[in-house]
Amino acid sequence: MIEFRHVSYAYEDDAPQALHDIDLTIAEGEFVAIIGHNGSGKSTLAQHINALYRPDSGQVIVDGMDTADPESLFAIRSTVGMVFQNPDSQMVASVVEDDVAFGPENLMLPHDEIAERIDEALGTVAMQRYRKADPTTLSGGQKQRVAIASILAMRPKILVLDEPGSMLDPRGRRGIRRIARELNDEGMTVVLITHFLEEAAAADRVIVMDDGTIALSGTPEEVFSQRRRLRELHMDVPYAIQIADALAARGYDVPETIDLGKLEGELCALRSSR
Amino acid sequence: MRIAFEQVTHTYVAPSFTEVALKDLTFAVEQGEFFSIIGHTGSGKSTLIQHINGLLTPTSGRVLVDGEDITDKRVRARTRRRVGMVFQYPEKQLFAKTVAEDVAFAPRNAGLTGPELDAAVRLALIQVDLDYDEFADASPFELSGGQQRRVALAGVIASAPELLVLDEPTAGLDPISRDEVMDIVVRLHDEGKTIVMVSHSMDDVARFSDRVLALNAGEMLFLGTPGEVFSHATELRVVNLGVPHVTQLVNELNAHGFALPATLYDVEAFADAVADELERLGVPRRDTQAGA
Amino acid sequence: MKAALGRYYNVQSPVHALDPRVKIHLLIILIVGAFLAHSFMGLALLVIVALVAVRVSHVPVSFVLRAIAPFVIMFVIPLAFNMFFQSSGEVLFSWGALTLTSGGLYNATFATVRLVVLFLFATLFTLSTSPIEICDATDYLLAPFSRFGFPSHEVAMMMSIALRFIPTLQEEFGDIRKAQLSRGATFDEGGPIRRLKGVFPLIVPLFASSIRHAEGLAYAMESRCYARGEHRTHYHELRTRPADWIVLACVLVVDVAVCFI
Repeated sequence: MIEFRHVSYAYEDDAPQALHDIDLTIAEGEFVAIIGHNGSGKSTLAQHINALYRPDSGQVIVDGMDTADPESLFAIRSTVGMVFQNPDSQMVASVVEDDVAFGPENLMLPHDEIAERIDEALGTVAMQRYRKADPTTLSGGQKQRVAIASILAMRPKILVLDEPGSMLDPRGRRGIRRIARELNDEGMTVVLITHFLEEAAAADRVIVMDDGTIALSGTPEEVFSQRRRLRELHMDVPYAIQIADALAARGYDVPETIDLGKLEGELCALRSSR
Repeated sequence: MRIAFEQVTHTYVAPSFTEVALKDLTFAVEQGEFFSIIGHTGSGKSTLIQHINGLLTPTSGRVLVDGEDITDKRVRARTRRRVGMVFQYPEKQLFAKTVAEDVAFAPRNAGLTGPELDAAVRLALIQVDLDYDEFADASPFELSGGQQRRVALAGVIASAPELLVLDEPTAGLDPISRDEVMDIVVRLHDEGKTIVMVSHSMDDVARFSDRVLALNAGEMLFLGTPGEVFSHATELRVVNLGVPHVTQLVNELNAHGFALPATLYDVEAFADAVADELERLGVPRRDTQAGA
Repeated sequence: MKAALGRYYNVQSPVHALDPRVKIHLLIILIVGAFLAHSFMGLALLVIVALVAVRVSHVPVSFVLRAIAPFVIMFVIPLAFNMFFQSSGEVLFSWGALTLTSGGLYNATFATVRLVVLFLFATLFTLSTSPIEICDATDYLLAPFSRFGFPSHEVAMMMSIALRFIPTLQEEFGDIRKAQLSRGATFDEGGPIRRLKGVFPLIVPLFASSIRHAEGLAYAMESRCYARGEHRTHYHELRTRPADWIVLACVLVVDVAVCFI
């Protein structure tokens, strides 16, 4: 679905490379989380997927189309939907339904089709009640849900979320996480850029970026159990792993897991083993 | 410096609606404390902290600064100099051509000039771990998010406030920057400043605070040490507030027969308690399995 | 709660329901009529149209009066003074250098009534037409100019985006002001130069914020396939109804009459 072939990119001619020889394949229907410290290149990578940036060398192929091809731009951007970090910098209109209509209007769809898509999109993010509301009166989490609806109204096959929860409170982040999971369950390819571990843990695959390259890649369990490597990459180690390590240091071994719920189960089992 | 709230109520009145943001709050922030405030979005936290430096005054009730009523203009002006306020996303306040100029804004307004002013700026930058030579002449707008946050913080502590209010100081930052900022806050507390922090991170609140105030819809729900407040996990969940990760685990384990103390937030302390409990119950440690 | 822009009064009424493009034309026609009127009869006719429109718009009269009050005061007072300096017709009274003549009184009164009528029409337009409708109407009416290279659709899009950002920037301004006040800034002390300098800590951050929003918005709009303005459909289609044409015709007739009475 998405393919990066030897992609390199620098913001300016003499600047260090933001992306260095990236090779990455994301299959259709996958849920991939991309994490990494600030400046690791994760946002730059995300913005190559919908051709906001084009590689200096190498190719980015999305659904069979080359992002460097100007003719494909329209098709690529209607296939890849992108939600950004700042809820306030994505709203175009003064009424929620007008903002959701913006994308379909750009796709030159007729009025009735647009109306149908607005209904559908607002329903998916549970914001139908706010259809006629002024977006500036909404909370951060609600604004991001409208932003997602505005993208869904374009019926993309791929959803790229670039740190969607960075500026939200925990409740707002939970809402976004839930929607991303639901959409992926229904077949949407989801790419989530984040620095919150809980968000990355829900993905099928986690990619850790460092200084423009892919440092780690694997399932959440595989990636998050690599404590030393994670610390070197300035990433947090999940609580469950930290606790398991602390217990091991005190002579109690528990099977490794990144899920606090599973850890709890293991501890209960350990207790019953006497 | 001691700030006392006595039955403080604050009502916003606008042509089309009236909203009671704070209802009958009574509590005090003591000298040298690390005082945290938690509450769901819209619970009145932002209104509350604006009463601390007099940006807002109560509709009824009193706010006393070292015993003096803040509705007195002179008290308010004095308080504003003694209280530093770091709002959410404080980098929004950056405006000067250079970092040094921006950090100098507050002390200059307080009347400092010449070498005294320069010293205040240098000290503030040191306190936020920014190298003076490297950053003083840089444009604040060309720095990274984490650096801008620290410049904004420096701009507030440059006038040497006795009490520092921080509204979600780590909002929007990545894990490294978050740790850097909290390190700075803790250091400022250790140096003697009273800290009032609004936060959504229960782990941070538990780790650093002396006392916690839980707000719900403008009313005080709980006030006490982190241990006291976070022992009410169920009530907190009802009002959309969480508890530290470790506390959650402890509650779950205790529900399944463990007997762990409820005031654990630290991974190491937790591991100690679990290990002790398991040993007590007869589950052998690894190094004792081979036999004595 | 955010402040409402301008003076849009959100209520259902026949005037509110008129197509905004038709309303723009009506406004122009009535303004022209007001300037071409040369007798009190003609002016009276326009006053009647204005009063009927206010009534039908379901906007409280007090609201309308409050809306036009500042403008009326601004202009009526100089006009009133003007009447002392025109001399035609018989002298009614004089007091030192000020001489009031019947001609002066007539002209001043006429000009005043004309001005009030103009303000009434303009205010009624903004009271009954939402900012979004104004943008949509402008987009439609400026469209022909795009043939000559004028970026009419982009201008209309800019207008509606600017509108959308007003509450956001207002809020951010408030936040910035609170932050600077907390750093000891004062905005109401000192002479003019000091006060002007005091504006920098407010304006620069707001500017920086606007630019950041603009950048983010550009990426967001591009990502949603916004290219240029012409090749897009509109969810809100402006459609005229028979009522629009009837009102237009009636007002046109009145206007023509006003020119000749």
